[in-house]
Amino acid sequence: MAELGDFLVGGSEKLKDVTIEMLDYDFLDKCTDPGLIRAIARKLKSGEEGHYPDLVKHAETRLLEELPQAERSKILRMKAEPQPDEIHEAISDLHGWEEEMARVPARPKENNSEEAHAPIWTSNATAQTHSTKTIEPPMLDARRGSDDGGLARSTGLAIEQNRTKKLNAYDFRAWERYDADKEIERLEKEELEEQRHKTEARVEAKVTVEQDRLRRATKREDQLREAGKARYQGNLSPFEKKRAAERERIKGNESFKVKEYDEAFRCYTCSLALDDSNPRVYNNRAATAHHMERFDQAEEDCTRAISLDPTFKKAWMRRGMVRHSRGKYAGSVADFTEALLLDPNDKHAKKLLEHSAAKEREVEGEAAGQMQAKFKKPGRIFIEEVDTLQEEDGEHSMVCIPTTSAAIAPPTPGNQKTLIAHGWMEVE
Amino acid sequence: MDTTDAPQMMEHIHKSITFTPNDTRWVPCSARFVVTGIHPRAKGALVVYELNKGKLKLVHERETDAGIKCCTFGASSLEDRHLACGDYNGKLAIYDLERNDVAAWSASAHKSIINAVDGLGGPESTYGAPELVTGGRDGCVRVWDPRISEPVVKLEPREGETARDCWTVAFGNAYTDEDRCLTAGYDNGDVKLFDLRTQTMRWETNVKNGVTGLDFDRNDIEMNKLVVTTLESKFRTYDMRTQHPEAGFAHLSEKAHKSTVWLARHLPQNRDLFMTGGGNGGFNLYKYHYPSSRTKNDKENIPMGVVGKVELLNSRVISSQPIVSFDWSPDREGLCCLSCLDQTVRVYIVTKLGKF
Repeated sequence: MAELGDFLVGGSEKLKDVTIEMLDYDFLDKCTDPGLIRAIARKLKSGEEGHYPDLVKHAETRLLEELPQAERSKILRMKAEPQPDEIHEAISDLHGWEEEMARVPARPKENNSEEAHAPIWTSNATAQTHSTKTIEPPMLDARRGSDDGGLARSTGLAIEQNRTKKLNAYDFRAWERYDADKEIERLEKEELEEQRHKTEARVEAKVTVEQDRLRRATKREDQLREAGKARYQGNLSPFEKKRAAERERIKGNESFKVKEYDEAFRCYTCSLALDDSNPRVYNNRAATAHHMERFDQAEEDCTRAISLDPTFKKAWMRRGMVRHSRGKYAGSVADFTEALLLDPNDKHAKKLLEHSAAKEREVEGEAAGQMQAKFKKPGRIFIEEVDTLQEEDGEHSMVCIPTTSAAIAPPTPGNQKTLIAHGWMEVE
Repeated sequence: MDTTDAPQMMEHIHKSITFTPNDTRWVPCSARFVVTGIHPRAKGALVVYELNKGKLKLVHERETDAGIKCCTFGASSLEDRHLACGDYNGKLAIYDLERNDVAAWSASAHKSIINAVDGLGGPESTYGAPELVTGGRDGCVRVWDPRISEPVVKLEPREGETARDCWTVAFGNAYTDEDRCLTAGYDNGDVKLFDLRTQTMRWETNVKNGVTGLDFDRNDIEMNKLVVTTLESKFRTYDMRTQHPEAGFAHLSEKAHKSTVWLARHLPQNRDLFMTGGGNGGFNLYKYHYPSSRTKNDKENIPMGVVGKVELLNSRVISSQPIVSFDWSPDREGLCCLSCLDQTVRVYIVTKLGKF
């Protein structure tokens, strides 16, 4: 467990000073400052004052005792050995998986024609740039890397020096003609010029970055549009397709977690292009679309997920939330009710149902006449302020639904903005 | 994240072998893995084991002419699952594990030992042609398409200069059919990022210590993160999304293992978790936490990257000898195989990864 000890005494913070008197059992017992004990432990471990294995152990034990609760429990957790029942469970699970894998044939697909592969790079459009060629120096001096930016500057300097050198120190005639003011002016001008070049270069760099980003985005879109007839897809066995779809789903989830919704949406779309039988992917894409405020898409995906698996509670919940966002309160009440039928103990669903029901009454009460019209114009959103409800059971992290009066507002960006905050972190 | 649980690392199988293992890889879509290495009499060793109720069943064994240093399934389709191996004599060969005859493809790739190989375009990636990249002691990095016998791209040291030993290579950024990058790490601490689409050197840096391993968190998305492991017990994590014209990519540096950090491997099921293996015979499991904003603007409004933090989730020392290879099962979360220089291969189960 050497590593753990290192973790215990490690850390990059500045250490307190340790004197030789402190390297002592009694001192350690009395000391209650974890920072100091950590410093002592580290000093002992460094071996500068000799080698005392028992004292090191004692210092570590003391440090553990004095650390704040959170840190201590973390270290204890890491030190903990797995429980026998945990081991048993993990291993029996693994055996189940082994059997499952054993059923996968040695060759998942017997394929006779293999013309199905991607073209060799050299033979496609990028041929000229990607053809066999030797790139000369990849081996650049390590020092150069950091200095590249300053190259322009130093070049300017070099010119300067060269010109001055042309004036021989003993060439008095030349010196007579030498006009210091003019020279300074020239230097300043050069400096300005250089500054301008630099700014231009930077602007250019920025534009390139932007162009590149655009190019990538369009490229991905194009590829997705082709996903239906994509060459890679056509050539995969159903087994491989499922696997690739699963991979795209995982990628989507990862992007979703870091709020890269555009990318997550693409990944889910790709996953669905490969295999559209998984209601969870539809539900995840719905969550993503909800975040992107593409409510139409979100509702449609929920509906697809539900049609694939009518007992899929999360899809009902999601559609309820989406419909709520769109102001379709009656629909959202129906969806939450359905979710509750599937799981009568879901506190979360209950809460959401109450909110939607209250909202529906409110809207009906205050603007009963408009209600019907609203339903015919689903694009409208009438929610202004939102509150965040924290869900206790931890499974659904957070869900935001409006609690205040239903102000009927046109769908300006500002108005819809607040609806979806940082909740919804539940893709699967 | 649930804070009451730390992932546990349980040893499932521990097996002594008769050769020095250099690399281990799971056979995609199976409960089998390959171990490659070198016999004491300098012949190459390639064995395939299958997990079988807590035991390892030998399902394939092959001896090659020269010791095998590195291998990958990365460029082979799921249908073939051919293994590409780089050996001590500089030969790159692709073997069909279902058949016991000669290599399906081979090329004399380098003048001496091939230190590292990586593949792309196979079962784990959706985009682009199947390609292999090799890095050798001769300082060259070469990209191969296993359908033709000549390298499609070569990166070579300038004539007359001392060739630096290339220790590690990795593909990344393959998120469309054309986009693809490769990185190479050298014994003098150089790390180079070469863009295969534009054929340009996109970025170079020096991390001050020999680069033992490079691992992108995913190779088939827009470059996201890169872990660089080095000698002298340090590794770096780079945020590869935002490249600043002067500052390059943002990174953090972390100490680990008190000796060489041999490798880092990201979990296939969660790109923000990764394991490092060290010269002290230990492995550490880390989680990367993104910063609240991944970019900021410099004085002139040019975006630059912001790096997050890494958190140690758990750690174990399991051997007195370095852990030289490690591979996560692509098909089962938390299952991993690894090899140590004490001539053992082990299978570990890491639990509760789904909670992070």
